[in-house]
Amino acid sequence: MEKMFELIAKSENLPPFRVTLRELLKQSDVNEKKSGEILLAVQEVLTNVVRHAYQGQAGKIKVVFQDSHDQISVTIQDFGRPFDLTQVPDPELPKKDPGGLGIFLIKKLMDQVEYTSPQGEGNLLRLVKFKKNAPQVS
Amino acid sequence: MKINQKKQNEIELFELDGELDFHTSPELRDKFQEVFQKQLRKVVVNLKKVSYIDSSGLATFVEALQKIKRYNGKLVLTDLVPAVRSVFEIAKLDKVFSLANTEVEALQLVAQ
Repeated sequence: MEKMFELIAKSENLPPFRVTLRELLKQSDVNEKKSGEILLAVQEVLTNVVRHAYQGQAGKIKVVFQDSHDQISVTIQDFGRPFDLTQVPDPELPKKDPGGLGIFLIKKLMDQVEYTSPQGEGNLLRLVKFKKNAPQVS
Repeated sequence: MKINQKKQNEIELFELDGELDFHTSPELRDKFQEVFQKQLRKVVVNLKKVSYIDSSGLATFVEALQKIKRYNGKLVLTDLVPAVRSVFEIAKLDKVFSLANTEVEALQLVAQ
């Protein structure tokens, strides 16, 4: 199943999109814990787009939600300032100052985070969560 | 986000209702300004009705804790639902904050 959305990068558009995403995740067979983690990671990406990629400008965001047999993937594309968040080193925890946890949460909560900047314009992030945990290697 | 604020003995008790994210956390930050300005020393925040928190919500609490500690005040968070507690744990903030399981426990902790 694949669903596409277009959002305008404004903070007030994030809670309604969260409702939509929550509904989609409910329809999938992913468990509640993983659903919550996907929801939070996607919202952190969208918050980054609003704050940093567009810096308060009401730019366009494209979101593609894909539910396949073994994974949920969410692709988020913006056309703002390029920034590869996968290159940001993890902070030392617990952080003593506020802020700077969003990127850490995205990487921590998802199984895969892939970044590209198509033709050097904007950002395209693909977040993947596997439905089953990887088998433990003994 | 609904924010209910009341005074119980010398303790400032906040009850939050809703989702704490990038859009709603400025409202809570504004409410906390009064706490800092008056240097209120005993603050409890009940999160029983908060079903979702993101990094902006966490940052709001980290900032509040820093400012309250500066004048030797205490901040205790209570009744975190599992999804919210889990975000605190991932960020290892459960080691930094006083987290109570019940409001009674929180009121005792902050009064000590």
